[in-house]
Parts: sequence; structure tokens; C-alpha cells
Amino acid sequence: MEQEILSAGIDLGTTTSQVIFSRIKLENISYTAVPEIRIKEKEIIYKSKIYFTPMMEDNRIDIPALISILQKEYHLAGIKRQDISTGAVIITGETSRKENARQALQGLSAEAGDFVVAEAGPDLESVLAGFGSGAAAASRVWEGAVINFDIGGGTTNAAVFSNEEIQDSFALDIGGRLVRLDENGKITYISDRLIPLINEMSLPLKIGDKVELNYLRQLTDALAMVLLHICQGQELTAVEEKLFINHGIEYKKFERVMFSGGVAECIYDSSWDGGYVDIREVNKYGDIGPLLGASIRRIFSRECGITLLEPREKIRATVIGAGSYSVRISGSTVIMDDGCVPLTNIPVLHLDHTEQGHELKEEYRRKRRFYPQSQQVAIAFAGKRSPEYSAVKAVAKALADITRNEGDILLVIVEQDFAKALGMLLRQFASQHHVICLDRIHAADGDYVDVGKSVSGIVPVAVKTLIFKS
Amino acid sequence: MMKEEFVPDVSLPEVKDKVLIDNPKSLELVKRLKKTTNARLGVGRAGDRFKTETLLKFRADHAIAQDAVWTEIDESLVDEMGFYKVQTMVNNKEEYVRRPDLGRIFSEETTEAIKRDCIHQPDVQIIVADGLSGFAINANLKDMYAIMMDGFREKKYKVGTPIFVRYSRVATMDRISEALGAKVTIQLIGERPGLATGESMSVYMAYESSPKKPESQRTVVSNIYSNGIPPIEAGAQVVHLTEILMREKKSGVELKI
Repeated sequence: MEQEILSAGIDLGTTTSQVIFSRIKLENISYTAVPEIRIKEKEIIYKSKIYFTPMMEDNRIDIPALISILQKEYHLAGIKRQDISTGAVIITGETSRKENARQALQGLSAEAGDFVVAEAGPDLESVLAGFGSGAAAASRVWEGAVINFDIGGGTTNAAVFSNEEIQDSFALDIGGRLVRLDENGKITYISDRLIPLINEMSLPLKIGDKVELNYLRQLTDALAMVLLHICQGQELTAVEEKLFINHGIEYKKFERVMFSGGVAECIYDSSWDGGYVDIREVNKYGDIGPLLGASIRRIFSRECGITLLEPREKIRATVIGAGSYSVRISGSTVIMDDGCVPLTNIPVLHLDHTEQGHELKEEYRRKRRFYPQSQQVAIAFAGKRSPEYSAVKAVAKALADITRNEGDILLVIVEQDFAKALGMLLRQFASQHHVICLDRIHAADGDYVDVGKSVSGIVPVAVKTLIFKS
Repeated sequence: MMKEEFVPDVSLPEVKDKVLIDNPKSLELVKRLKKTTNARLGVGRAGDRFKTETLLKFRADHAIAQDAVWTEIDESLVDEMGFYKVQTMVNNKEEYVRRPDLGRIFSEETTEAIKRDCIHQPDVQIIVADGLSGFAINANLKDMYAIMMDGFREKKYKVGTPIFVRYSRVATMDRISEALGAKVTIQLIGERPGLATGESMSVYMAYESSPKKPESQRTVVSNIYSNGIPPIEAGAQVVHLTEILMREKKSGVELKI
């Protein structure tokens, strides 16, 4: 038995924006009356062209222009918004810092389909790019971690994977368009974020000046060295450390590195050896992207103890990550109420103490205070591998008890496989609520979840971290 | 003074997780590979034979499988839960293994006793059978039975007298269903043990189960044990399936779910 779901991925980046559609094939591999639904295949069925992200003169995102791009692409792909059962719009890089970023995101996700979730945040972007590039998959066949750098126009998003699990993620202000040039090679823009580094290196790079290639190259080499040092576990200088966005990292050595994003197109382009004859050749995009790519290729192909892995996707890694990897599927035996979905941006309240009823209630009360009484929350906990009935019954009773005066949906997510049992009990003990009880999904405090409509008995869930966390 | 010494227990499941290859190029990758299967990968070799440890583990697992077949179920368990106890035409374990045909039928007296003592025309008839693993029933019955009963009570089904059948094969459910005129019959039975576990239990379900119908009348849930489908989750699924069988008035391959 096979079923398909269509997923949309929309990436709204600093420089470029794009749309992809993928078909996710589900199959039931069980031969008994307990279904076991697996994702059999993810196939990208349509890739839009790569658009420059439309901006208005006041440096805000041009939302109407974006929406008309989206409508056009749906039309070209021959896909109707109601056919889309999951997917994500992700706003990335510097674009996510624009003042109307949130409106743009919400406008697009509404236009894209009922179950398309809106996501943002540099860490999440890093993770999706790492899935889309193929770094996550590569980490399964290599011992040790694989680090993926997705280098776009505005930012570099890094994700560390080990055996397909995300270990760490971070972002840096390194990008192809942080310095821009006009057709004559005059500098038209330098990002504030690069100024400290430029000053420290005493590079004579100023807006309005005609640039000397040598100086630009010193800058891109320095940026490439930052990435190399991160891979080698070398501590960065104070100025270099300022390039981290939100948070830094724990220094350790990585043996394998993969690059994706627009700049990666230049890193893996071996037709150009990085020898620069004149500025026109380097300046084909009006920015330092090609130069940065060449610097990275040169520095990482030296004897540096790091293996450079070829990505599956480069400039499209993030959008493919958003379209194919942002949504997880629940276990196959769950309790679902399709009348209640979609549920979007539901904060997760994670319980660590579920062994004792009174401890559970105490922890719930303490954490529940962070959210207004009317706010729908998702209660998540790990649970045991094969728990005893009496223990699950006690948890169900305590949960029913403690949520008695809350809104009409009781949403519970467990990691281990017993949602059907727990949900059945919750329906008995909390009969005034609509119960949704899902399993095989990990969600932590501070995460947000979106829950979509069930497909062949499984439920698509997007677990998101850091929505516009500043 | 003599020092107390212990021989390691080779029957423990974690013994199988050990990588026995000498100087593996990547221990981590062998471990990862082993996690994907129950097969005995990465065991290395001594010449062209198994290492002693592998052979002992294999024998220990085989012994568990054999013990599972020969172990009687702990009848105090079904006594506590108020089961009605009967026996097939089989007289002992040895005969049970040798004569599958006798494990499917009852004597006339037994059939009469069932008809005399048990509730007729139930919506749901529960049967527990020892099958080929006594361990399975001992390990999984209690929790699974409890959640099923809670579920059926909630649905207000008329639940028949629970029956335990000694020396039973799956087909006894057809005879009991026929004798009592049950709608949905549910049999919990110990699975034939493999080298992975001796504790796995299966559930066979049928709507108006009957010896006149083919085997394809049965809907099955298998692999129920602590490392497979948790017993309580299987119990909840059986309650859910019972609802479907009651509504559709059919089961097995006729039922498209």
C-alpha cells in the first residue's frame, strides 16, 4: 500500500528566493494489522528558477511581488495550493532581520497552503541546509562528524551531523554579498558586520573606491581561514569571533566538511582555477561570492587534514531541506482528531518527571505559568521503552487532572511507542477534551510544533526551534 | 579464603551487541551496522569457524527458544484474572509438539462444558493460548489484558467469559467462537520462538470465527513484547481493530484497512 504527499519548500534568502515541490512517498511495510508507515522516497518534482528576493526601496521585503512569484510558480508547476499537505517557508540570512520579515513569512505560508509552516532562525536554517545538501546522509557512512557550511549572500549556516543526527548548529556573518561592486569594480556596499575584520587587517576597502583585487582576495582568504580554523578546532581571534550570530561554538576538530549555498557553486566549480586576470572576470555577480568560493577551494584543497565532500545540492540545499526534511512523521499507532488541525506554532511544555503523579503536576504547574491560560500548549515527554500499564494510567490520570480547566484540545507527544494506549486512556479520563496523542516525536522545552492532517494514519509534525528569537 | 567467581551469563541480550572482529577499521561503523538488524554481524572468526563466544551465544539463544516451547504458562496468572480453563485433545507438551492436529480440537465433553459454563453471544470473546511459548504469555498477558478490558468496558461491549486453553494452536478460537456464537474472537497466543526472543506474543482476531472459514479470516497483530510492539500499545490497537471488525462485520483479508 502506497500513499503520496506533496510538500512545498520555499526559501526566502538574503539574495535569492526559490520554490520547490517534492513528492514524499509513504508505504506501509507491515504485513500485520499494526501499520508501519515509512517514508519510501522523496522526489523533487519541480524546481523554480532562482529569483532575486524582491525588496522595496526602503529596504523592506516586497511582499506583493513575492506572492505573485509564488502564484506564478504554483501555476507553472501545475500544483494547486489545496494539494499541498505539508512543507515549509523559511526566511533566511539577512532577510530574516528585516522589519516586515514576520508578515512576509505569514503571508507566504498562508498563500502556499493550509499545512505549510513558517520557519525562521539561523540555527534551523543551518539544519535544513545540512539535510538538503546531503551532509546528514553522508554522516551515516563516515565515522565521526560531518560539518556542513551553507554559504549564502548574507550568512554562513553551519550544522554538524553524526550518524544523521544533528549535533550542533551555528551561523556566521560570512556571505557572498557582504561586499558589492558595480560593473566598473567600484565598491557600492560593505556590510557593517565585516568592518571590524577589515579594520584589523588594515585593508583599504571603502565604499566608492575602485577596488584592488589583491585586497579583496586578502579579505576572502581571511574569511575562508575562519572556516578552516573552525574545522581544525582552532580558537578564533576576538575579531573573528564577532562574526558568530547569536552564539559561538565549542571548538573541536572535524574531519569532513561539505559546502552548500550559492557560494558553494563557485567552490566546486573547477573550471575556474582562481587565478584572476582582471576584476571583470571575478565580478560576474557584482559581489565577492566567486572570490570567496575560490579562496575556500584553494585553502581547503591544501593538505589540512580535512576531507572536502561533494554536496548533493548546493544553492538549493536550504529550499530542499525546507521542502523535504522540515516535517517528521509520527508513529503509526496514535490517537488523532483531524477536526482540530492544522495546529500551528504551539509551544512545547516538556515534562522531565512523569514517574510520580504529584511530581508531574508540580512540574506542569511551574512550566504552565509561562504561557497565558488561553494558550494552547503541547505536552511532551520521553516515556519508557515498554511501560507498564499502571504507570501509563497514572500519567494519563495526572494529565487529565491538571489540564481540566484548559481549552478543548489536549495535545500530548511522547517519544516512545505508546501513544495509542496513552491516548485511549486520555479519551477516557479527559472526555471533555479533543485528544491528540502522538508518538515517536522528540520535542523539547522552547520548541514549537505544527500538527497537520493525518495521512494513512500517521500525522505530519514540524518541530521548530527559535522562531524570531532575538 | 576462596574468592567468589562468576561465569558471565551468555544468554543476556547485550552479549549480542559486542563487536568481536579483531582490530576493526571502524568500530563505530560496525556498531552502527549491527543496530540495523538482529542478525549476528561483526562476530569475527577463528580460522573459518565462529569464535567460542559467538557459538556459546548462539547455543544460549537456541536454548531460550527451546525452553520457551517447553515452559508451561504460569496458571496463577489466568486464575487471578478469572479465566475459565480448558485443554485441547493433547495430553502433554510432547504430544503437543508432535500432533498439531490435536492441538486444534476439543473433546465433546470440553465443548459441552464451554457451552454450559461460559457466556453466550458475546460481542467480544477473549482466549489465551499457550501456543509455542509459555514465556510470551507470562511476560505480556497481564498489561495487555488490562488495557483491552478497559477499552471494551468503555465501548460497552458485552465481553464473554475469558478462556485459557492449555496445549492450544490458533484454530481453537474457531471452535470456541462457534460454540458460543461470539461476534469478535480475540486469541492471545505465544509465538513460535526464534533466536531473537522467546517472549513474543501474537494476537489473532476474527469476526464470527469459524472452522468452516479459511485461515484468511484472521486479522493478526504480532511481535508483541518489550522490544517489539509494547503490550499496552498492542492492546490499544486491538481495541481499535475490534471497533472496526464490529462495524465492518468482517475480518482478515476481506477487511481493507
